[in-house]
Amino acid sequence: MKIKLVASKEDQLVANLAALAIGIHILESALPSPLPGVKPGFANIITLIVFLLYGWRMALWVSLLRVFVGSLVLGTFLSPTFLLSLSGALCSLLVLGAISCLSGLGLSAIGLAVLASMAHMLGQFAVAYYLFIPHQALFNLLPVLLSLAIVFGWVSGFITQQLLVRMSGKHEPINRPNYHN
Amino acid sequence: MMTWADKVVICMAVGFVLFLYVWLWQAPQEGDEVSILVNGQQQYRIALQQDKILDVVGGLGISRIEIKAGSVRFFSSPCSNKQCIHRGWLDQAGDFMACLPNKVSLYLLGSNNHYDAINF
Repeated sequence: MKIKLVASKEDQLVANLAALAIGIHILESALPSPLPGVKPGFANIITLIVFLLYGWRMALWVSLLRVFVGSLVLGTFLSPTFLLSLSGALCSLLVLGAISCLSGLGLSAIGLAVLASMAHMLGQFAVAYYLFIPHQALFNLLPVLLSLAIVFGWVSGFITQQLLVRMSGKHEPINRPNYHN
Repeated sequence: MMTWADKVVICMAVGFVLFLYVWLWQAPQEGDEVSILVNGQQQYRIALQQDKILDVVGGLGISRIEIKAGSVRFFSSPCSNKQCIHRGWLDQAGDFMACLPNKVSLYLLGSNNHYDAINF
């Protein structure tokens, strides 16, 4: 029996954007990091652009594909790195989902990025603490990690905003969609 | 281009992180009391304010514990390696030391302990 799968326009869009995010994810993993778990997270610029242009559901697809495929390519699938990456991605998407339910709260890409980045860091930290290093001393690291999350979130948000300005009118909207679930 | 909502969110985020710095990076606290355990059972609980020398009967014999100027040490011990004595003076809340051969251990209590527990 032959099963035929037809990729819809939406599927292709998700695949293209996820490929872009995976590329950034892999390039970034090659950068040296002063602290474990600290990296700029520029792959999430793609997540944020997808969220703003096509809505939360598409952002979830792109983000999860990035985490899964990225870890398969890097060989970290099901390792602690992967679990940290997954928990961070899920937490930031939960926050973005909540914000989109509240119809955006008047936030621009910068505000969204800062909140998503902090949620990402807190999610990762919770998993790191409960699963891997349940030691009090880890909490001494939390303020530093969150400070970096704010800075990197801000930078990502700024880049997202600039990209959206340059892209305006050139993307293909699928139904309608700012803050669309 | 930042909206007012962005500014509010970023101010709240920065405030939250500053609060975390203050909360999580507070200076370790000096101990107020010492709890002395023999065989895992608490035998004494004494304030560190007054200087005192205490003889505690353990499994091997008498451990002499000295309390002086808010800190505490093993002064003498019947054990063979004397590791407890070499630990020296302790004065921080949450600090812990033990003479395992003599089954005498002690830890310092404060109003805000720096550690919940330490395992060896």
